[in-house]
Amino acid sequence: MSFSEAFLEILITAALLWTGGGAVALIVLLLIDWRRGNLW
Amino acid sequence: MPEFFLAQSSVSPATGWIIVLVLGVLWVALGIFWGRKAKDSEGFMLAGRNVGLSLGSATAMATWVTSNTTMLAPVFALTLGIWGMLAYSTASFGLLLFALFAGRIRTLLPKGVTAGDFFRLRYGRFGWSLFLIITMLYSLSWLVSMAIAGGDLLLALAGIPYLQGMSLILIVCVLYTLFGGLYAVIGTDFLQSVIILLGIVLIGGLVVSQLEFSEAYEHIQTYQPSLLKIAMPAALLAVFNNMLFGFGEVFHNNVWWSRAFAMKKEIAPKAFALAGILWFPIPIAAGFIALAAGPLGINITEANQTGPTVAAAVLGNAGLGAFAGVLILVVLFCSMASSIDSLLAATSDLLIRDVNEGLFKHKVDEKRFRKLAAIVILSVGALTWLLAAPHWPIINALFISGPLVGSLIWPVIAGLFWKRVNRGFVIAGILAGSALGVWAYFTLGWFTASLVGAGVSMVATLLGRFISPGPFPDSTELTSESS
Repeated sequence: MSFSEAFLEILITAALLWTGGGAVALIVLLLIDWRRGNLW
Repeated sequence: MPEFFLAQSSVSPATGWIIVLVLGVLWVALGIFWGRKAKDSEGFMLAGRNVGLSLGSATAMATWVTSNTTMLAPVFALTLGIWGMLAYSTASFGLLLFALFAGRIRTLLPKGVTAGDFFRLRYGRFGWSLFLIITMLYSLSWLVSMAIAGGDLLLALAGIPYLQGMSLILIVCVLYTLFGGLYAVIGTDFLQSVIILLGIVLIGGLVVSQLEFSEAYEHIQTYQPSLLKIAMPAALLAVFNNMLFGFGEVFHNNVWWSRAFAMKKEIAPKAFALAGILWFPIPIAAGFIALAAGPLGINITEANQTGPTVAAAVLGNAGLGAFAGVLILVVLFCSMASSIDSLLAATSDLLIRDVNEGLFKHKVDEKRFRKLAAIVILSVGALTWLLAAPHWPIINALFISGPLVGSLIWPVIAGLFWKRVNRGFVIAGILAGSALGVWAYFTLGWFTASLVGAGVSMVATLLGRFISPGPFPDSTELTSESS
């Protein structure tokens, strides 16, 4: 596997995990803010 | 490699109407519900200046995810390869840097309402007027291009006639902004951002599951080797140009300033930083699917439909054909609505606060505020509709505004962090940067315009730092906590 092939695979996998993780992080933060009465 | 087919991506016009109406009714109902919290003008324009981390991060991120992000990122990947996706991702640096500004903004203008307050305070009436012209041109072209994209989307995916689709999306966004102000915008932005993120991951995950990386890589290397080049000059220039365009857009525009004013003071820097971090992978996650088109045997007939075409084919191959059009429509509708609502609210705030109160000296009392806000939001919506109806290529106006907003980067930095500057130099830099940047757009190429605008303005602003600098005018009107 060449460097650029590995780079492409890692980049795409990381981007998808990062994006999905972002959605989860937002929901968790919302629950924390809601529990603490910090929504707005 | 499995055999792929191009699935029928479109839904019926009736399904398209139902999806947009169901989402529209939901957004409007939530807008009315959340809008009840807005007891005064500050509540309506700034959501009470008390927005927390989760809603603050989501609204900043969702506003920056436009239909361009989800539709253009695959086009960038298709034409500029790996660097095309990364170029788009650099737009997130604008949010990350704005995180550094947000705390300073709240310290400098604890009672500020719009970005115009800053320009008036720092650069006087002329600099403020210049800012208003640039920001109105930029905001309106962004708003109109989103409305046009909405009409195009419903036509392409659901066969709904352009004028009907464009009107439908615009009416939904106008209504919930009208009823709920920034509360409605921020609340719906949260739901829209989660839908967008999950939709992109679902589609991207299906593409990855159907793609053999080594075969895909070989295919691209054989048929489109330029897409894998690490050093691709045009793409590298695009990286820097896009980054500076993004800086200019975020640093100056009231969409972001109003959010900085709306969030809790200690939360604002964290929320913008988190929004930037969450936004960074989106153009890659949404864009890489274009690289899969060739290896998966998907025929791209129209470059600007790359994203939906690949998504529909992959969803179809996964046995989700009927669901494909619905999912794509929902994700794209959310990415448009989250920007249109923010632009409607922030542009209306500028018209009420800066144009009506500032330029025309019409003081608005609290009793008349909501009526005026409604008139202004409806007027902005109507103007957007009028400009979007003929389907002119307004997106070009948005791209041409790149050097204009790029020339505001350094004036914002100087005004926020410096104590003294020669204001004449700064204003001359904005004018020269804008003019030369537009010239570069037409003569050298789009990928140089923002670089030229920002560069010329930077030189002038730095000269103004050292040649006869003067203190900024004293103003207690906006800097006093007790005002």
